[in-house]
Amino acid sequence: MHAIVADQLTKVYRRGTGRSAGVTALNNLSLSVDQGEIFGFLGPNGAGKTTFIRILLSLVHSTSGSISLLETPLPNTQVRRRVGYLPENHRYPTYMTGKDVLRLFGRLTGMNSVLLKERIPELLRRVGMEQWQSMKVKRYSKGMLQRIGLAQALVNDPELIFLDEPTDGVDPVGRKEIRDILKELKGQGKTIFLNSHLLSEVELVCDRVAIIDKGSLLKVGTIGSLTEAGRHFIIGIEGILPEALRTEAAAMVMGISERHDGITIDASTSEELNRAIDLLRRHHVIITSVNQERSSLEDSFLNLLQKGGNA
Amino acid sequence: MNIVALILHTFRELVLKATILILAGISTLILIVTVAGLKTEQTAEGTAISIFGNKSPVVSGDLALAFVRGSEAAAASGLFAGILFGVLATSGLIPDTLEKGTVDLYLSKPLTRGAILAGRACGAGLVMFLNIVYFLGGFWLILGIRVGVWDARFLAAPLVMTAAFLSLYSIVTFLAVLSRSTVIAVLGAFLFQVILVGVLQNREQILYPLSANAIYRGVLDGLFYIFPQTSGLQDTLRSYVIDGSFSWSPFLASAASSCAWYTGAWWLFEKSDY
Repeated sequence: MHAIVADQLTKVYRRGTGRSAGVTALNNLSLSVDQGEIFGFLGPNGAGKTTFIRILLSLVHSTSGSISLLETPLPNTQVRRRVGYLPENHRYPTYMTGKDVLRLFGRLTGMNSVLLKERIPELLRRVGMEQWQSMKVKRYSKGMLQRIGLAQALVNDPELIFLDEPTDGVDPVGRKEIRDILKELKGQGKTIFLNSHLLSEVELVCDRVAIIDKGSLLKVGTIGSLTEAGRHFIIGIEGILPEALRTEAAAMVMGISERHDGITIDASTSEELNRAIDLLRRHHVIITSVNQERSSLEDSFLNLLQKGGNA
Repeated sequence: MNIVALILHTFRELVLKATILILAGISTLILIVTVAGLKTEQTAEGTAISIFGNKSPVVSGDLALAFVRGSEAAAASGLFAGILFGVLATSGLIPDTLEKGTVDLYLSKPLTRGAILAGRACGAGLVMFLNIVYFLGGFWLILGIRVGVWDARFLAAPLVMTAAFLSLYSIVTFLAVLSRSTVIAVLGAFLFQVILVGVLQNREQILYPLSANAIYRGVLDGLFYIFPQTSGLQDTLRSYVIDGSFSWSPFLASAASSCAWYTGAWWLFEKSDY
């Protein structure tokens, strides 16, 4: 079952008049997100990420295309009862306390006071804001605002949660806690749509990611498929590789280079790698480790953007 | 219903921002001055009234009733100026809601855009209604206790005043959605109430002499009916309190005009991207 389906979504912002006055923020973007997955949405600034989320939440009207959330075609106000949203740069009424914020937005999602009485303390504890619940929001730090914002997004126990830069301004410990909450929510079958610039974080929590640039989708896939293993193998060895042996090994594989903790071998096949290892072992080189080097999500992201830019 | 939550939130916001306290404080001050300034003494011939030491002839029967009704009409007229203050105090509600980072939160909840505007306007209306009831009710009680005349007709005044407030607020709402600026919303409402209302109300004396062109005069008449007739409501209330004569026409004209302004605000809000 799909939590989000966007089909041929286009958004052109009109600026003034005339044919050339439009700015295309999204260009025929089609995407689906399965229920129960943590989905990362990546792209450089101005790529159209926020516009996409805003269209899904009916903050922005699409120029063309169709969307459905939780199998409900949009526009539909009531489906938002099952949706939570943490916007980027959210602003809460400064005269309110953290607890008031949760009560207000809980009521606005249609929750009654009995439910909220149970839900709010549980959420405050979960996001680590229990002791600051009665403090006015205007005295909160950025990290505290993010935490209360996350609690706000979860107050109605939503099935689908949109998080726009949820760890922005949060310290490393807080980030870890937020990641744990996201994993816990996934364990409860919730779908999380995560928009973040922190690729290392996305890599840690997301099942699948989409990369967009200039309003177009460049790639969608699992983290594994995007950070696919290359043909580089790092072989840890004790001591230094003799020059003669290095030359002999280099003739067997595509490439070889030394590094401080061993050697890196470029092998086109596993057989090639094994032949190189056999050679090293025949010469009594002590191998301490063999690891396949993977490209990071950041490398893949930058490569894709570069390819997209060159295309 | 979610809209009730929004109305209550607006009410609470105005309580926490001390808006209600300020409005109630001003009302209380005026009521205290009224209590201190209005002295009465019952005599065999009737009631001797003294206003800030100035003694008036002893009144009884119809004269006492006329005194009470005249005082009530003056209080209601004075409160129309107070409504402008109320508009000023509540004019930031909608622009605040439409600010980036806040509007996202409201629009992502299961609320229609119309419900968001209605919730904010009704919340402001509720606060003003309670303040008007407090002030006019207090004034009615003081007069009743001091003079011994209880004029039930005056109890309609809070409803008329609240209708006038909501009419004026329709322009604030429209300008707030159009500009997303508190300053423009307030200035627009003041410009309307202080200048346009007076000029358009008296267009026959002020503007008609400038040209005899039928189109020109038609446009002026049209403008008069486009805007809520708050001065008409004020006149109707005054005459109703004094002699019981009542006209529905400013109510209907203001209701139609306010509906148009609120609908315009809703339409703009509905088609905007945030």
